[in-house]
Amino acid sequence: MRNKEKFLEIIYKCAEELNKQLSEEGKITLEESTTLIGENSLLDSLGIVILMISIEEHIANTDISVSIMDALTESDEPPFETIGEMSLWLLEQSS
Amino acid sequence: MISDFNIAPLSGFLKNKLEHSEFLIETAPYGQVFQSLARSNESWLDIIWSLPERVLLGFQKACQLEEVLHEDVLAEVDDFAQRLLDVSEKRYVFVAAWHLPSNIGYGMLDWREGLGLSNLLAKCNIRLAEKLSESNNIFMLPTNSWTDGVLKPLSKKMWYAAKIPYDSKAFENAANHICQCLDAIKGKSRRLVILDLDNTLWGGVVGENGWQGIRLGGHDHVGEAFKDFQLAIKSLLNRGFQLAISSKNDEGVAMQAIDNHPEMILSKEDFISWRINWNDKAVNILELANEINLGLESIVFIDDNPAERSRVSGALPEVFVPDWPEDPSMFVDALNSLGCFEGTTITKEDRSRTSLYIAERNRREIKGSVKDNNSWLRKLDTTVTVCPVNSSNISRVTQLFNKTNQLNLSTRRLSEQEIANWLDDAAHSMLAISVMDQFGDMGLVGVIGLEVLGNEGRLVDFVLSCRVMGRQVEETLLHMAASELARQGASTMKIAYKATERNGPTLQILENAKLEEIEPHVFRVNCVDGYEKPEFVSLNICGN
Repeated sequence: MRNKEKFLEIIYKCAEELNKQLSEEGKITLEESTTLIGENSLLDSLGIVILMISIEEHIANTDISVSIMDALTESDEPPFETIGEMSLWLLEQSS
Repeated sequence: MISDFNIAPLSGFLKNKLEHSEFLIETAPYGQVFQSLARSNESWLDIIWSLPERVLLGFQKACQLEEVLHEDVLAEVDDFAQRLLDVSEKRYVFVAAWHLPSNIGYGMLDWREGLGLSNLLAKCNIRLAEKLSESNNIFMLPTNSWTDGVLKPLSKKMWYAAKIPYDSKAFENAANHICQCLDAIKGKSRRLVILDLDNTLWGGVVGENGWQGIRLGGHDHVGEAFKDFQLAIKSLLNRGFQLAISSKNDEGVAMQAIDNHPEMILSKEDFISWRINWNDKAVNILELANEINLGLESIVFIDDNPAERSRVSGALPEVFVPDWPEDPSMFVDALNSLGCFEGTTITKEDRSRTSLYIAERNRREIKGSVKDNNSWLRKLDTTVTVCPVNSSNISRVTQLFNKTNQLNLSTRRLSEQEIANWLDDAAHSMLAISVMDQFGDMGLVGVIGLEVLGNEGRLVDFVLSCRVMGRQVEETLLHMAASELARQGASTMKIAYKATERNGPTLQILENAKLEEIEPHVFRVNCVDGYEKPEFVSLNICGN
């Protein structure tokens, strides 16, 4: 099933897992408007890497191959900043 | 935390779990295991999780399937172990056992002696464990138990991108286990398991079906699950934890099942006490705690009935009441996952704890049958043996320091090394107290720590298991402390009581001992006059 909600579910699940390692003030709010990449993100670079790879691996389990890390490192402008934008980008990449 | 991979996930989990504790987590620079070990710091505990191919050059070559002499690699293990032993002189050390990264090695030859990677890794871990067992401050933790059950414990992608070799679930398991180990060092492990009977230790209701009708063992998958659960419970007993029963049943009927069922693993003698009646289980558990003289925070209550669990956890929040699966085939896993049965040592006293309590029950029965306290004390025929603290008894002494709450003058929580360091000072001495009577040997149950400065002596530690409370052992310890200080040249013994939430009984003993109270909670004894030895206790001093 390839739809935005499915990708949101995966992002939230991975963010929830990562939150267990993050301090109270650094936790990711599970909302579409939460910024993951960019100036307003609460995540440090390691947090971003862990989250993106974790999402990649979860998506790989659904037989969709998306290289989020490549997309983030290869372009000057990140393809998404917020959770909502990421879910749409994933949908676009998978279709 | 010291590692040669990126250990940030474990650090994060631990920081969150220990957020409201006294612990602060610091992570040493990544990849600098040897440098970090050499660096002097003031940590209380070092957690070291290394990859074998990163700390052992020979193992790295072996991973490339180069020919290596296993003895050469083991020599590297010895060197690494020595560094850890050096560190353990100053602090506790947790070492994660080495875990083989995904590597097929020599395939079907991988366990071949002198060749395979699996063979070499097992040898390295065994050698490391052997060397590290020289120190009681080092605990080698089973990494496999952190990765077992994790769907994909190794994450290659995470390794290449962030030098994190394991899935976050493995780190979460590690953090949970490390917290349990910290609790054990701090003396916070549970010590008594109170069990229900029907549908907990066996299947069915014995009051309705009779002992012949319960499901236990036999050619029955449910019966086998209950039997395996009893075996798991029995293994807890063998590790020094105690068992008791709280069951709504007719005692005679329930005991018939325990005594007569041919597949019953647990026997009446395995339980230090029981309440098999129709009373409120919370009341029964409270009574058991009082009888056994254990705090409620030392108790785990296991019952298949959610209503009983809810009643007990509501009435006695200190008691650990885990959720319990309905399916008996899940019982053993549920027990193993409780994580409250860690221990830093297993002493002779631990293994014989239940028989010690049964002897205690016999003592109380005698007490009920005699007219007065003095007659009871005379009948007990108690002998107190006093020996210096040395390498043969320091494990048990450390355990007493960290577990004893009620009869503890200053409640110093000390590691074995800290005790040894304290004793390095010529002004300090420490005596270990063992007690036996006509009902049996209670083992090493007390410690006194002494300090002499000029002609002033000080009782620094007065630690005594509450098992021997109320039979003049307390007064014998005061006598012994004053005598020993006099022998070391002190004319007075000062005793400063430091109050905690739990050590009120210590103050009561000091107040009842008719000592001179020179200021609130500070007492003084004239060592020249001494403190009289109680009438009904014989004293045996090691070496005399």
